[in-house]
Amino acid sequence: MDDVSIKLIEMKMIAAMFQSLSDACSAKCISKYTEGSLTTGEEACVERCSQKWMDTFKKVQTKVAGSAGQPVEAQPQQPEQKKGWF
Amino acid sequence: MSGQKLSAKDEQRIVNKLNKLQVEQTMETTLDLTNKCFQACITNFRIRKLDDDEELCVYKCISLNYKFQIIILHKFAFL
Repeated sequence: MDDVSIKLIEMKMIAAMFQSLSDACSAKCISKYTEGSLTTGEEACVERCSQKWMDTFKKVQTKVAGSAGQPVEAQPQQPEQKKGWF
Repeated sequence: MSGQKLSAKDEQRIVNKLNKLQVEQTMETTLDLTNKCFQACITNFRIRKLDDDEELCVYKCISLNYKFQIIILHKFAFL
């Protein structure tokens, strides 16, 4: 795979991660929409939630990457793509 | 698509496409699984890091999903 498609995939991944993270944390932390701003509790929750989501993601990523089937031929692209995720 | 031999160039294109597809699929799986397990396991937002219960739950969630995938793959293969 060429550099351009790796970069594109990487960007797509980051966007999708952000989307998932904000969906998950708004579901977990924000219960009502009556106020125009976050309460102190909600703010703390969101902050911890994103941290925890990232931790969960990393755990899943190591597991999935460890047990994934072998790529069709190119192995060396794996570390390259991992480096870019974070 | 009538069983004729593909040219080397076409083969290469397919391999490239498959590689790309695989990377994308891996990412998608990771994201889906993260969402699923986060939804199911993480309930305590009073501390910043994953506590022992949550960590165990995440591991169980991942391995359960993995086993589920294997079973369903077998069933699918022999449909």
